[in-house]
Amino acid sequence: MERSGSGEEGSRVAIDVRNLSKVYTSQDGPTRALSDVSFAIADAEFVTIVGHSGCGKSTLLRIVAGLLTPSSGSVTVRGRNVTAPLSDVGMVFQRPVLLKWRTILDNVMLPIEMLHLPRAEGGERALDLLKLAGLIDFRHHYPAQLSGGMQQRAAICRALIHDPSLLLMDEPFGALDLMTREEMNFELLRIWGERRKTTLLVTHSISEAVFLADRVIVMTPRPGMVADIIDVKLPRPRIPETKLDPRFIESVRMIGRKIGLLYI
Amino acid sequence: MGISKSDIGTTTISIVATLAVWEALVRVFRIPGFILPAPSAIVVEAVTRYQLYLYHSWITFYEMVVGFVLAAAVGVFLAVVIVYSRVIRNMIYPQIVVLQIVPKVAIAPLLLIWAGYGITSKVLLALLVSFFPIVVNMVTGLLAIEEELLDLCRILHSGRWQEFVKVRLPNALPYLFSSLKVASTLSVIGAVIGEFVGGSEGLGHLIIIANTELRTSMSFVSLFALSILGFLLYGFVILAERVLMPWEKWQSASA
Repeated sequence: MERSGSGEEGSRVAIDVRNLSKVYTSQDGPTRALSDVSFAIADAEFVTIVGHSGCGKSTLLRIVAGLLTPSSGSVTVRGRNVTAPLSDVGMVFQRPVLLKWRTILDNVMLPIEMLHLPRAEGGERALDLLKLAGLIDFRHHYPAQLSGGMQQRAAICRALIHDPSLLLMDEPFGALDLMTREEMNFELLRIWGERRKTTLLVTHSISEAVFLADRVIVMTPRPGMVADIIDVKLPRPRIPETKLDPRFIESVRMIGRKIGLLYI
Repeated sequence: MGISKSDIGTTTISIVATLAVWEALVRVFRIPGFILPAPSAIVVEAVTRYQLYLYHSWITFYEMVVGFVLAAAVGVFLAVVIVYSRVIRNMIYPQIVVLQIVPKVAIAPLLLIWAGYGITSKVLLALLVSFFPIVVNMVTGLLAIEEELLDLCRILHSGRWQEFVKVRLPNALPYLFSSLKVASTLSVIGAVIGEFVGGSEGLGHLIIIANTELRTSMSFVSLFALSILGFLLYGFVILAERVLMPWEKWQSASA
């Protein structure tokens, strides 16, 4: 039933998560981080995961990227079982984690170097992406010379440079101030509009989750389970006025109720 | 934290004032030269026998620089091995720490027996005194990587070599340089200890002679020459740091 999604019946399934569970064992005994999580994401779909901190959202994202092995269940990306880190993934973290000794351009080029992709093409793509992200004039600057929001935009460029089919973002704007955060939402949608990557973004801001997504996966805390998957029936492109749309407000309210109720 | 003109002014004034007070005290109280020579007497000694001091300074400088460079090479190598091999870490890290705890002055006579009275024993001592902070700092630097960066390396299938060259090594540079600054001053101490214990050349040797002959101004010139040598090496490390890590000035500006 989770797969019915956004009404794109014909589109290919990009990510298929089946009965995923993750148990961490520590000195205090086992901790259940994820319990029986299932969902599917279609090609070029933008899905957000929202929930309280500690609901296993980041764990889920790292399992999808192949950085963690699940305790049970499976993740399939484009029909292939994920068993090792996927290079077909662009990953953005809460902190920009740029290499401070490289200029912005060289930072964006890192995946090209590491994956041994052709440099010339990579360089052109890097310039295109930096232009798209409004960073072209800062390409020879060091990260420390840029604001947090600009650094995070550079990190998004780095995630997209090797043209991955999936974009995974782990609370990418969580460390930014509110105004920059709103700005970054528009920036991200603009970039996404141009590049149409299948995107999975984790956030704990309900309004951000609704504003960005085609569908919102609502998770319960400890252990993380899928409480509901909500279709966002808002037109694209999303504009500032979208947040005044009754459907936006209704979705936010509904998710809030779900998380609130489950939390009590 | 920049250095302003007024900073330099204050420092200069205080140095000049100290020298003036020193000179005045020696003259007023007629302190004998073998107890405390006046600054003017020290300058006269330095100028009249500058060839002697240049020669022995060169010897000591050579010993400390070679010792320092070897310490850097050995220190970085050991740190890399310690970080990448658990077995080797368990084998050598405790021994390195024990070696560090033993006072190097106490090892010096042994080194003379093993490596002779020539330059080699002094170089070895400079190396021995200065490599430890390099190992410790470099290990810290190689391990101080954000978890997310390691995730990124795994996603990009970087392999150990690329992860080391492109991420871990440059990340460790600030740690390395702060240890090199410490090591550069320690290497002077190492070389001088070696010259104290035995040998016929170097500023340490001159100080021993000066002491036995009660030529205190000669001691003082040697001491000043030693601090200049230490300062030269230290300055070189700072220069290398600026050249090799141009991003650091922005780093501190934003922090």
